[in-house]
Amino acid sequence: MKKIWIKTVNLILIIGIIFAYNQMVLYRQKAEEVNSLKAQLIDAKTMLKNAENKIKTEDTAESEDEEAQNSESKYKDGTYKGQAKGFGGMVVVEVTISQGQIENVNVISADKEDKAYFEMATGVIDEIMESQSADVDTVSGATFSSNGIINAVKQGLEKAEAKQ
Amino acid sequence: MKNITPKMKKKLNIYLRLAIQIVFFLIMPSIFTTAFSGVKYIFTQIGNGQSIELTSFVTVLIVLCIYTIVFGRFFCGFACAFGSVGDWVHEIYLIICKKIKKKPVIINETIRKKLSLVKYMILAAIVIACFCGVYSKTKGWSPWEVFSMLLSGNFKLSAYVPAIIILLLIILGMAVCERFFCRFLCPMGAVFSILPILPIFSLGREREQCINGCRACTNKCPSDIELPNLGTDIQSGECFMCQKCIDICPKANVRTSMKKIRGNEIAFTLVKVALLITLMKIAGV
Repeated sequence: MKKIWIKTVNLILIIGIIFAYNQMVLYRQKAEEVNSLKAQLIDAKTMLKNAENKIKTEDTAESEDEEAQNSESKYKDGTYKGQAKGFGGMVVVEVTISQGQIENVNVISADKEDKAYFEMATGVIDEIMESQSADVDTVSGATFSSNGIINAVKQGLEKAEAKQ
Repeated sequence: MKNITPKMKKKLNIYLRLAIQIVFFLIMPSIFTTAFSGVKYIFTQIGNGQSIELTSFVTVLIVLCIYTIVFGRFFCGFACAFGSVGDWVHEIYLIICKKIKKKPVIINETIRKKLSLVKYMILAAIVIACFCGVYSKTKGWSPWEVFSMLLSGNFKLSAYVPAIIILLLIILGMAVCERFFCRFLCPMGAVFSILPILPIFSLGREREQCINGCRACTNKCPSDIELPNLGTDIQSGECFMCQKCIDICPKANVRTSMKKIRGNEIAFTLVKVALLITLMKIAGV
């Protein structure tokens, strides 16, 4: 009966190693994803800071009228709806503009999206608000839902531009 | 069923096995390559540093391994298309030998024992090749691929000359020596014989009741297995569960640990067949 135990232990070892390997790879893949997202976030933040600094220096140098700045802004204040195709169906969002800035993006409906994927994809909303533009990268692994949100926001922003 | 003589029973078992082999050959001839593709897939993925997903290959491999752990290598003995072809070729060879009144060639037993280690080397070589990502360079050398192509009616074999030569040599070997490929060369067989086979349904003999010095079962066995005493040891991983030893024993000493199966071997075999077909259908063959 010794043989069967040796063989059993061997089999468990092999399965264990393969299983542990698999978990390790999955963990590493997730860690890589998180890192790349973090890097994107830092990029966006530095861009924002640079932009703020630029505005400040322009303010002090030219001491411009506030009204003039407002008229320079691309968007008119208000809330605008936009929709686009996501993974399973339409994604509808509401973009709020105040003082010419994208202040908020609300998802109104995304009925046919996969929950887990859509959750991942909502990461693009933060990026959109930080970069004040809908030209952002999609979340990897949730490309379709990301594009749904991005394109819906784009449509909303177009309406905001047209109203001027 | 009571008035069936042992000789008739033996004949019945031979025909039953032949019928089961033909059924499997016709409805699912690709299980052995599918399962082995699972082995190759796992090691290719590890070599690439990628995750192993539960593809249909891996599912078939896992199901077949669990089945083998429970029932022994019943798949090899009754369901593997390649093994079946080997059995048929060997039978034809024996018939021809009888017709031309020549003694069949027999490979020396010590050589046979040594040759049975070759399959582990083949398995190791393939696994390492997959791991290193060079397996694709062996295209045109796999006799199984040619065999599968022939079964599916694909005759564009010009790129497979080495594989065809190997396949012909294997068929020659299988003709001369029963289960030549399965015992000596089959990498999937190597995987199976590493598995711990549970002693529930595996065969053993009640040695104290044997006729003194009788070696009928060992002589009949295509793998030269000396059956263990019932319940004392596990069955060798080399056993194909062909069950020829049960029929050859003059005292009906060979049986599984389950007493109820004795005398109901045919029903038990049919249950195993039905279970294997169901499992393979679920696994997606």
